Amino acid sequence: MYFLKLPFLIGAYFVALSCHAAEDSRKHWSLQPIRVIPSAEGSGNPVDAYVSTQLAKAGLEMSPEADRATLLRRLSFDLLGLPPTPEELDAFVQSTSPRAYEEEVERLLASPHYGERWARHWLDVARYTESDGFEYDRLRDHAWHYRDYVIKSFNEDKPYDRFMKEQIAGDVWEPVTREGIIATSLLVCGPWDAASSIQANATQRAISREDELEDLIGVVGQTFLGLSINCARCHDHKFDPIAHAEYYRLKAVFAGVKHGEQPIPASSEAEQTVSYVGTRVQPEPTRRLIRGEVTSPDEVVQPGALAAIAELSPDFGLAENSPEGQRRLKFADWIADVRNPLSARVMVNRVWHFHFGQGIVATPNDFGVSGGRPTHPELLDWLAAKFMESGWSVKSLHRWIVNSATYRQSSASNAKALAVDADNQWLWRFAPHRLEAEAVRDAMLAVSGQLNPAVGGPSFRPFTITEFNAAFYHLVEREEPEFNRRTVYRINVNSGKDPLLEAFDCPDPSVKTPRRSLTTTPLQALELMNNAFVQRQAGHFAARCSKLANGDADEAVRQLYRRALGRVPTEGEMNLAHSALQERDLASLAWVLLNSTEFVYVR
Amino acid sequence: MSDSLSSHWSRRHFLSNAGNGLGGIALAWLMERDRSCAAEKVGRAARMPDFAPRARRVVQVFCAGGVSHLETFDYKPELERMHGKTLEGRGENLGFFGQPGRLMKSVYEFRQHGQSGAWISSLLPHLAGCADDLCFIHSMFAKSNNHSPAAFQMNSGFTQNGFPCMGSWLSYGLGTENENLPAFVVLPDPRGLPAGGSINWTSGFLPANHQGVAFRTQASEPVADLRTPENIPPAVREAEMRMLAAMNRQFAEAHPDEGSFAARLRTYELAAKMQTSIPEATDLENEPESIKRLYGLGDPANQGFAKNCLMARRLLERGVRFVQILNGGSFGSPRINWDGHENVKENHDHQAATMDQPVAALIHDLKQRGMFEDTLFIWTTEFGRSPLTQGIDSIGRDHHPNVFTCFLAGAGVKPGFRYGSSDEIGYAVGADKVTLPDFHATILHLLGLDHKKLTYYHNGIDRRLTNVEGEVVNGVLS
Repeated sequence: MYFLKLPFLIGAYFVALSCHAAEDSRKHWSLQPIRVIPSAEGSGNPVDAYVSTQLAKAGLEMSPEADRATLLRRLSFDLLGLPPTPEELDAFVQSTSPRAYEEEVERLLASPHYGERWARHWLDVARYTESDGFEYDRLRDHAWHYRDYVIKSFNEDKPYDRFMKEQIAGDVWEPVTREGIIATSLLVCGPWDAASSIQANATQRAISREDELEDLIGVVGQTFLGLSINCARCHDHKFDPIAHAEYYRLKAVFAGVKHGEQPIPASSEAEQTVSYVGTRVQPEPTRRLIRGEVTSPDEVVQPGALAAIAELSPDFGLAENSPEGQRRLKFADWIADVRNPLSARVMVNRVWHFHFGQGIVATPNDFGVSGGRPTHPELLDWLAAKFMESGWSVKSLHRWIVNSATYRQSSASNAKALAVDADNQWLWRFAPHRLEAEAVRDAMLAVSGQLNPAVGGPSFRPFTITEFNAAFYHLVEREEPEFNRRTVYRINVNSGKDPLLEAFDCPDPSVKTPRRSLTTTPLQALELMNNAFVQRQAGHFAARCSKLANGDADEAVRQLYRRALGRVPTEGEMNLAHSALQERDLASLAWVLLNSTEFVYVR
Repeated sequence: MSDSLSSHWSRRHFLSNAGNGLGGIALAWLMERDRSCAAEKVGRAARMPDFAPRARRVVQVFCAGGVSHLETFDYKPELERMHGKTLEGRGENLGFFGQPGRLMKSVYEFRQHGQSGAWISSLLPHLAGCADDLCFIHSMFAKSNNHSPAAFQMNSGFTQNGFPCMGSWLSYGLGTENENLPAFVVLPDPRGLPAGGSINWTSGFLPANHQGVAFRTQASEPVADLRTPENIPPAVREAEMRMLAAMNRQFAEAHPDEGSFAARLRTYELAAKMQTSIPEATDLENEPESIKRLYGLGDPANQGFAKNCLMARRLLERGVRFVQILNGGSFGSPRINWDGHENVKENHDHQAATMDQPVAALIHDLKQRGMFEDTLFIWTTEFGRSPLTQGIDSIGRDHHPNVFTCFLAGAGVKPGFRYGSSDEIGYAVGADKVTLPDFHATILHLLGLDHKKLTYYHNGIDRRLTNVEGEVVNGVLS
């Protein structure tokens, strides 16, 4: 008897244990309602008040404000991904307006280049690609509408709740708009195994369809909720309160979405009218798959959301055969509901992360139990609450952050603070950081005067393509203006990568990338040293500065320094430049500046 | 976890242990750059092996397209007896094209070779000569019957896009032995890239410095942007580099707490060294004639691939951690890979003519230099081929993931050994199934790494090469 009973006892023990774990994880901080607790510091900018409180606890204090030229260079790269011009620097440095800095913030937020910069961040998270990946890696000629949609949404300060809803269900959310349809590209803008979908073996086909949906559920869960719902495909989530069956409820929500192009309403008569927004089918009722195996279907599940958000019902009241569009619409409402504490928290943290190079939560795609804990929980909630109160205005969110003294601190190090907090998690300074790949390339174009500022439209393709079932991309050097557009307009294929961009940590497009790695490698040095694009921009940069200087050698050097580094050369540097120019041309000097640490870093 | 990591791995920790001066700071920072952003939760990279490694470096020959186990290393007398019969009761057809024909015996003769008596077909006479060095695994099992997902699984453990390759994991886990060369080098087949191109050597979510560097072995410049542009005289570039170094040094000295600024200075020194070390490593001119002959360098049939095999040895000698040599690219007409759908004999004849001698030569060469002691040799393909013909009157074979053969050789593995088996007709695993996670766990083990401990945090998961599976195949270890 004893031996017979034992397995049952052990079973019961494990059930009890896992229930206990799930209950505990439901108390996880990120799932609790947003609560605004006024900061002890009281007056002034609330961001600074929250940060100062934490600094004081660590025995630290904020650094003084950075000088104006440094500040404008920082702000300009941060909001536009481009350096300030000498004229902009002069205007700001000399301004006597008491709101000079705030005025710069407004000027930059109103620039069309702002949307290009922040769309690139979003496209990283959305794993946006313009080719299929996998074996065929075929080009998606008409995927770029989504990129333009994201740029436009940031530029127009589209309310973020609307932005979320459109990307999940814009094609069925009345009144349906062209933009809404394009927005749903998010669901399918990742890699797709086109070969698997046509193969003869039904089991293998079904497995790759499950992989596709895991990618889709993964991007929705991580992007909007900071939850790795995709981890529950085979079993209950190991750490977070997400049941195996709930994964399949989510799968039922998206089971009608497939890869492919579809006609979209034309914006003008001349425009072609298809886009890679995916196709829709009315799916069979969804069954839970035991261990995630397509050969082990179990009970039918209804479309629904996660029970972990206690404030909201996970039940949509929809049957297993309800229209697929209705399912996504209900889910979109659930995500955009102000009572869902994750949606706002996750977005304000993303924005904070991109401003400072580190989030209040260090893992922007993971607010679950295995993710980071907020360094400033009260600040995070204040921002989230204020964000929703503002009508989900992303530009307002930028203002609260970049107008703060916290953001405007000098990046200078100091021994005392470094000893206590080397990683600057309490924000005793603004940490210097290297420019991202796109900003390196765009900044070179900007200073050389070659940047083609055209916004939107089809991507430029700096390669030739050969196709024999699979597509191959052969890079070519092109100098026409079309190829001097901002990097966000370079067609984002899975292979055919640009060695310069790749060396500077441009991510694999098929990977959901909430934060980029920032490496320092010899291959980066080789690219800046020898890449033909860099050589060319150095030449244009020198020619431009020569021309602006009207043949005055000193002025030409000053132009180089001001444009590349946002400052005039020191006397020593001017002397060095003089002797260099005895032997070499100005392009040589331009090359040195484009290779300098000062050029590729923001402080 | 985040907190303890950040305090343990703080940049200051490295700075204080890095000796004095910018050089020390730069070195420490470069070594540990993945952790430099301490707020980031990262897994434990095992710069120090978990236990004594048997191998210090790896060379992998990857035969793209799907090499038939039945035409190479897996002798099936029963298949000869059943030749021409249909196959019932094995469930769903596993092929990609879904036109199962009749059972077909191997199109080549098999013979036993060496002391070990390994059965190897007449297709591969040179590799047959290495029989006593090889450790066959006849019970490999792939998840997918589709080239790219199966190739991804062989490379990265996952059938999807975007997961780091084994070479990237080793670069991340063990770093490099020669900082003047990349840690993970890919030598693509000169006839063409595999489908998906660089997707096949991605570092996925690992930092980009762990990505495979594909050498353009037929071009004058093996690595993109390695050479100083021709229009810049050497004296000018030298002066430019001096001026740049002075400027960057001054900047780094003005900001002594910024390890990355010092590291940047150092990367330019390394880049300059790479400009000579990479051409030196890839230049085969000074190899003796006997070596060139050994690899078959004079043979027009395999010239490009033979060069890559010889180059691989030179790279391994110089401390590259992981060299992947690709045999076969994507589609084409005629095919340039092992995908013998229409006529397996014609296809395999053609491919083997490029592969057999150079790979055997590489094994021989590594051995004669004593490098087999600490170099792991891996020969792989993404899946096998069906014992059935593809279509009733066909002489080709479709993809077959459920059993195939790979071999290991060199450091830490049993020489002249066969592990696992397929069933009597080579359709399914007979005994001792080895999944890709098992295979990868074994490789990591040989390098002194516990596959469960080599992790990297990404979007909610401490990722591993072996996902949540994998058992070391102890049976192949010497």
